[in-house]
This record gives sequence, structure tokens and C-alpha cells, in this order.
Amino acid sequence: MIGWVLLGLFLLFFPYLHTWPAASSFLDSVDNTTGLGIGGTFGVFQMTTLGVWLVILTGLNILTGYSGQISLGHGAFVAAGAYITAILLDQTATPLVVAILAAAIGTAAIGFAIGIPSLRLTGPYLAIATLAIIVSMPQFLKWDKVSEWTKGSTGIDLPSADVPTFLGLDRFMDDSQWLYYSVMVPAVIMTVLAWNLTRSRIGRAFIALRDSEIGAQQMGVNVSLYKTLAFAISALYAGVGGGLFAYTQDFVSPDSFGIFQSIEFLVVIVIGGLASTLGSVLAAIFFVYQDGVVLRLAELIGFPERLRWAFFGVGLILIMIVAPNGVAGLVQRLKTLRPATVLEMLRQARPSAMISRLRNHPLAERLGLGRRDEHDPGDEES
Amino acid sequence: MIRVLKFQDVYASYGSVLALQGVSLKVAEGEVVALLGANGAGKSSTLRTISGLLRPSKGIVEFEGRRIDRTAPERIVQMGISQVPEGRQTFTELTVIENLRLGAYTRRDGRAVKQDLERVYTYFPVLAERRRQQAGLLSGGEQQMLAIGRALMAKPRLLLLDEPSLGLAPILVREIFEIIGKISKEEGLAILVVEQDASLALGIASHGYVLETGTVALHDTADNLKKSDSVRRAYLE
Amino acid sequence: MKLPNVGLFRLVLLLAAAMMVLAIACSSDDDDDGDGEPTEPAAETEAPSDGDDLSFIPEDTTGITDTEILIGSHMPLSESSAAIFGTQIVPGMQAYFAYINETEGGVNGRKIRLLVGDDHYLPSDTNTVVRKLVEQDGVFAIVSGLGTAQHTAVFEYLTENNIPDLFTATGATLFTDPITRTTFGYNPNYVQEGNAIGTYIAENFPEGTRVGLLIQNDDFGNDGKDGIESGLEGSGITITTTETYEAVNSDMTAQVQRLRNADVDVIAAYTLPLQSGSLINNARSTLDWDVPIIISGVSADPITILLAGDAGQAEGVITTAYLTPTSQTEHPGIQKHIEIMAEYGGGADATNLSVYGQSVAELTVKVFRDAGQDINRRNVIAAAEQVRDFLCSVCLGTINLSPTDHRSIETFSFAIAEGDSWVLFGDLVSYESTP
Repeated sequence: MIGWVLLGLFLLFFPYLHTWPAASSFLDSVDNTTGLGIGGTFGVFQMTTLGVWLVILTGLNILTGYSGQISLGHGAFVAAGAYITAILLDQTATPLVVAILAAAIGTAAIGFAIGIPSLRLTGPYLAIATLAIIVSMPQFLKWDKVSEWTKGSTGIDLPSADVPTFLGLDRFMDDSQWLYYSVMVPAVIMTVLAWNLTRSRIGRAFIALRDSEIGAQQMGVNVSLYKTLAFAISALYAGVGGGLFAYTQDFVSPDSFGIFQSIEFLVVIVIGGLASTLGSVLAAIFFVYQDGVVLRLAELIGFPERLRWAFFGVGLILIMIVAPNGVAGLVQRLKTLRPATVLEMLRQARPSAMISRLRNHPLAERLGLGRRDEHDPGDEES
Repeated sequence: MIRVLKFQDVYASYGSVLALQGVSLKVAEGEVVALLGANGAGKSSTLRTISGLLRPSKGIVEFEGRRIDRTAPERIVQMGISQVPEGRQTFTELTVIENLRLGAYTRRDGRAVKQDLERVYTYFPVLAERRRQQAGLLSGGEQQMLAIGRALMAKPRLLLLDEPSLGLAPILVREIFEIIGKISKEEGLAILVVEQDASLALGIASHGYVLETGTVALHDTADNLKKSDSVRRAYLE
Repeated sequence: MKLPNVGLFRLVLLLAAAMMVLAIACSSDDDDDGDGEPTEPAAETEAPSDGDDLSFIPEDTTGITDTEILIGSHMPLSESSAAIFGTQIVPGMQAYFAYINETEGGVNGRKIRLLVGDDHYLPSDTNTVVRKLVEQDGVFAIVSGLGTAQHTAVFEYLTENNIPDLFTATGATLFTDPITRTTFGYNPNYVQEGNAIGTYIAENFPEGTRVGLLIQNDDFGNDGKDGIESGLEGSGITITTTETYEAVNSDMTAQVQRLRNADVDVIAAYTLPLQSGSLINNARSTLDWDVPIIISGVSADPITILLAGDAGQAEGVITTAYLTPTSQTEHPGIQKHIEIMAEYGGGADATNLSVYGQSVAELTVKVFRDAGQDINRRNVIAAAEQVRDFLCSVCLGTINLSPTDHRSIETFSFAIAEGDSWVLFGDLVSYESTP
């Protein structure tokens, strides 16, 4: 309980921390050592973007971590949310909250629509289909028929967010602090909602159909409904995240959402921890802060920053072997971990064991690369 | 005796392949019925038809007097038919207790669920011991027990068992079958068991059906079937 | 309440503890750089020195110390095909700054230090790296930010905070038309270049010539198309077919086939090197088609000739250039550049793009020098707007800037593929808009 209060206070006062000289010099010294980027107004901006990615990654974790469906093109949902918000803000007098709600509903509908054909696809086929969505998205955004709204390849440039003057808010905060709260409040709410969802009937249904579709069906779970529902909920999160993205970046263009980025989404939730709210939080922290830290590390040990993905790849494989449930799983295991267990693990560390751990990893399973012992339901009496 | 399940002249097919060609069978309350037959005879198709995964093209399927041959699979579970699928299909990344809770997915009577959990633990004490363990880490026999326990959590009045002995050591199989027999007796539960090992199935069943190429070739009491020459030749020796 | 809360709490504690340890460990060496704020309140009260209409820009000296001028840039260095730009331009800039720092002791006694943020060609990352440069590293100015969408993402931020945004590495018109006082373009814009290409076609091909376009489906391609159309106006030559492609697609087989089917007499292309190579290779090799091809100067790199396939297939292809190509090894500017790269380039090769990097660096040094000993954000803008007839060591034409013209390079030449390099030919074409 006290942990939650501390976390809440930290999030509440973070944007003012750097205005307090003692804290400010502390944050700066952390930045100078680690390259994190938590001090000054830049620190507030980073934390704001953390909120944006948290919403998006929480949504992806619902889809991939809980319902077991893979999406390599999640950036397309984010783009949809960002564009809906940006178009409404740019071309109509829609208030921000309404625009983001519209983005949430619109993107959820798109997610539902995409979820239906995805019912027939699993593993690598679903991965490729979702990849196709993100690849074709820029073409769609530049298409003549929609470019009137999307502004084609130029993208939509919004005015930067200003702190509103009502209630004298502008006397208490500057633009960066205002932006922080406008993102962090929905981000925290969405995260708590996701946590509740995953512990609800719906969440249990997702887990059931992830682990065994046949088993879930036998439990009375409507598999088709829940698989599409997972897509819709995940897309709804991406829609809200996209809306907040448009608001904080005040610019969206077809180039804003790369294929690499969508793959990175997946990488960070595996590192953070699949099927875990804490995992999504860690994933978002990792997503935002790794750039600065890797850069600092690169300076220290002298490898080119360009090798970031090689670094990622090795890290990902290590995490998949050592901590199949990501860093979140590791954190939870810390308290039961004894030196003897570690020694035992090291003793058993043979290449064959490592490969089998990789093959058994949930991600490998979701990609259809893992070991399969389920029967195809259509394969009668084989 | 109250009739729980009735199959009347049921036809079903996968595309152009006929799987069931006029199957009729009955299961009554508190009764264990064995469904025997070679691979491809239509055993699994019969189970899939009951649980609503396969739509019959002709014929009637009734559960407690209500037709279910056009009912959605999840609705059938709610009505009181649970299946223990072939290959067990436990939720390997979840704990034993989470698996059992998921068994009660369609139920909304929280307190009764808790009682049923205890009941499952008395049938399968090993599940109580391992309640916090990941299902994937259980042995094959324990996983089979979990699958049965999970099916019981839905509080069914008809339990469908698909090849419960598959891939298990004989001693475990016997133990599981004993428990199945006990459950049937104590709960008054109707059980339809599909099994390759006919002697095992007929050991707990009151009567059985032998399927051949989608039709019922033989129907008799378990004792008679055990004595039947054709059954002995085909399945018992 | 299940495990996650405990886990999260522990993590927060763990992080806090780690931060504290790190902070104690390094508290000895963090006293030197305290200010990272974009504006210094003291500067605003001082009287404006020159260019009175620039008085809205504070005489801010963030990033300036007695010994150093700290500047930043955003470039794609990894994770994108556009990284070929950043990874060659940056060494060119760094080498020239190092050369100036070593041989001349920097500018007015201050050494220039350039920090480059890798934005992976992703606009949201541009936003992050530029804010970091401005708010944390406290750079004085952003120089040569690359990419249209990428720079758009930070354009407003830089403008609002009055941060000098010098010589953007894009030919898009939106940063220079209309004028934003703190932002200066560098590349000739694609409309002007397209106009030159259109004019070239009008002058060198008979009336009734059928022109086929191959353009990238974005501002780059569309600006180029607009320019070509304006250049062809009134010549009796028209564009009969326009083929487009997406930047992620590098195979032009289908597009070239359709141009062939449309029976065009000349192809003009707004393509990047990869696609230009594919265009030439498909026309010459696959279709055995000797149609004249003119491509945008963006592709005026030896790599295009290489990608066009062997056997001199690119021979005779025409492009535009505004810098001396490295193939002109007898050119003194190029000789000097090769020397500088060898000495200060950190192992990077001298390429047409490193030449580009040096040319921007030369203009930057010129402007910083003109701003004088008391360099600040206001007088550096004033100095930039007073650049007249500046000819960098590798430029073809002079650069002129003024309060009404923030376009740097507006003069260029044509070049033709010969062997494995581009050779300049013909007269300079100038669109200079500073009188």
C-alpha cells in the first residue's frame, strides 16, 4: 500500500521535481552518469512520452501477452488513433477529450474489423498479415481519396499544446507540465483498467484461449468473439495512445510509424514481461529510456551506437532464456530465488537446454515456431 | 432412469466426407457409457456433434429433452455438458487452481464454485497439493486429472471423456478410471467415454456402443460386450 | 491483491536505491555544466545590437562558453535506409569542424562541438533527440537537421523557442516559404530543381516529345513534378504518363514497364539512389530501351551508377548537382576535402555526401565568425541573413541570404554519367532570389 502511495506522489509531483534545486541537481547527476534523461524539462517530456507508450504497450500486451495473438503491425493502430485525433483537432473544433474518445472508438472498430479475418490466421500467418498492414499504411494515408483529410505525405502539423487559462491553470504550470498531466492521467487510468480487465472474466477467457483454444472452447469460452474482442481492446488502447501521441508530438505523418518501431513494440513487451501489467510498465520504461542509456554505454565501452539492434537481439535472446516471463517475471522471482537455485540453473545450462527454453518461450509459441502439442481441431481422429 | 442424452439417426460430415451415417445412442443419468471403435469410426465426431463443434446434417441430438443440434458450443457448456478433450488441453501457463477456476467460467454462483473446488480436491488430492504449480509442470497423469477436475468445475450433468488413457502409464490409467467410476456413482453424473482400451472402458461402463464407419455396429451391456466374440477379437485381444 | 504490487514497489525502491548510489558515485564531476535551459532570463533585458526587427529573439548564449560553441543536429544514423545520408554527412561536418578547431583554434577562439542525435528517420524520435539536445545538452543551435517529415516534427518547437535552425538538410519548400526568421534552408528546393529539369527538356527535345515521370509518392516527388511542369510550360512538350512508388519499395520493374508501354520519349525521375538504379537497370538491361533519363540531384551519387548495373548502363544519364563531385580530383576544394577527411574524418571516406557535410559546416563557420566575439542567438540570425556571395570551397555557385530569402543554395549545374562518376556540363542555372 505504501508503495502505491509513494508511486502516486512521485507521478503527481514529478513535473515539479526539477524546479526544486536539490532534486534538480540530483536528477541531472543521474542523467550525467546513466544517460537516462529524467532531469529538467526534457525529463518531463520523456516522462510524458512514457505515458503515451505505456498506453500503447499495455494494449499490445493484452493482445499478445494475454490473448496470445501476435501483431507485428501494431503501429498501424497507433497511426489510426493519431490520425483520427489530428484530423479532428486540425479540421474541426472538436475538444481534445472528444477527439481522443473518437480515436478510441474508431480504432477499436478497425481492430474489430481486422480481428475477424485474423480468426483464420495463427502464428506466422497472423504475424505476416499484421506486418502487411503496417507496410501498406503509408500508401493508404497518401491515397488521393483520403489525402484531403490526412494531408498526404506532408502530414498534419498541429499547433503545440498550450496550458489552458481557465481556473488560472497557467499560473501553476507551464506547457510541458500541462502536457505531462494530460497524458499521465489517462495513462494511469488505462493501466489500472487493463490490470482489472486481465483479472476479470474477460481476462481469464483471453488466457484460456491463449493456452489452449480447444480447452477454452470446452470451458464455454466463445473463441471467435474473444479473439476479435482482444483485437478491439488492444486497438482501443492503441487509439488512445495514438491520440495522446498526436497531442504531445503535435505532428503526424505517414513516416511517423515505422515497421521497425512496431517490431520494437513486441521486443520491449517480451523484455518487460508478457501477460503482466508490470511487464507493460517496464516495457514502456525500457522503450523510452534505453536510447539514452545505450548511447551512454556506447560512449563508455566504445561500440558504435548503430549496433543498438545487435545489442537488443542478444539481450532479447538472453531474457528469453533466463527470464521467459520478462523482467517483470524476474522481479517477482527475486524473492524466491536462492543461491542454490541459481547454481542449479547454471549447472543445467547446456546449449540444448537453452534452445529448448527458446523453443518453449511464449513468443516462439505465438509466432508458431515453438513446440506444438495441440491437435488441429479439424483433424478428425488422426 | 432419466435420459440425459439422446442421439437419433444422426448424420454429419466434414465437407464431402461422411463421418456419421445414422448414429443413434442414449445415455441416462448416473450411467457410464463406453463408445468403442477403430480410428475413423466416428467416435470423436460423435463427441464433437454433442459439444456443438460439428453440426449434424440430419437427425436429432437432445440433452435432457431439449434439442441441442443447432446450439452454440458455449451455450451447450452452460446447459451442462462438459468435455475433457483429447490431449487434455490444460492451460499450461496457469496454475492448477487457475485452471480449475477457468473450468467454472460459465458459472456465476461464486460460493458454490468454492465448494466444488474442494470437492474436486477430494477426488484428486494431488491437485490440492499442487494447486499453486503451473499446469505445464505437472506429469501426464496429473494433467489428465486436472482436465477432468476442470471439466467437473462447470458442474456438468453429462461429462464427455475423449481418450483419457492416451499416453499414460497403465497404473495411472487404472487409478483415473477408478476415480471416474466413483464420480459417476457419487454425483449421479452421466459419462460418455471414448476409449481405445476397450477393457478399461467396459470395466466402469454399464453398457457400450461399438462404432464402425460412422454407424453403430453393436450395442449391448458392458458384460455382454466383454463376452462378445467380435469385440474380443477387435478390441480386447 | 496479488504479486504485481509487491513487484512494482520493490522495483521503485530498487531504482531509487540505484539512482542514489550512482548519484553519490558521480557527484564530484557534475559541477561544470549546470544550465540546460533554453532561455536565460538575463539575456532578455539587454539592448538589441543590430537587426532591430530581430529583437524578438533573445540575445541568448546557451551553448556558448569562452572556449566552445556547442551545436546539435538530427540525422538518421541507423535503422533506416536513410542512414546512408547521416552516416556520410556527419563525418564530413565533424571533420571540417575538427579541422577548423585544430588549424584555426575554432571560431573567434571558440571550438565548435557538434552533437548528433540519431532519430532513425522517425519524426517522433526527432522530437525526442532535438528536445534532448536543446533542453539537456543545451546546444546553441540546430544545424543541418535532415528529413522533411522529421524536421517538421521539431520546426514549431525550434521556432517557438527562438533556437537558430540553420541550413536544414531538405529541399522541401515549407521551411523557407514563408520565411521563418530563425530557420534557414540549405538544399536547392525540388520545385526549382524540377523547373531546371523541365527547362532542360524544353530546350533539348523537339516539340511533341512525350515525357514520362517516375516520382516518389511524397512531397519530394510532388514538388519535383510541380517544378518540371512549370519548366515545360509553353514548350509544347507535355507529361504524358506519371508513375509513382512508395519509399519502402526499391524495385521499379513494373513502373518502368508501364512507362515503356506508354511509349514515352524521355523519363524524368524524382527517385532516391536505390530506385534510380533500378530504373536505369530495368530500362537498359531488362527492356533494352535506350530512352534518355534525367534524375533528381538527390541521386547524383556514384552509388546510383553502381546500382544501375555493370557495363556502363548509366552512361549518359543526366542529373543536377550543386556541389563539386569527388570524382573531380583535380579540383582544389575536393583535394582539400580528401585531405581533411584523411586527417580528421575518423576513418570515413570522402564521398559526395561528406562533401555536402563539409559545405554545410563551412557555411556554419562563416556565419558564426560573422556573428563576432559576442555571438548570441539573435546576432547569429542577423549574420546569416547578411551572407552575400559566399562561395564555399566545394560549391558550384555562391550563397546569398537575406531577411526575405532563407534559401541557401539556389544555383546548380547539370551533370552526366561518365564511367563510374558524374561529370558536370553546361552553364550554371541560377534561381537566386536575393537581389
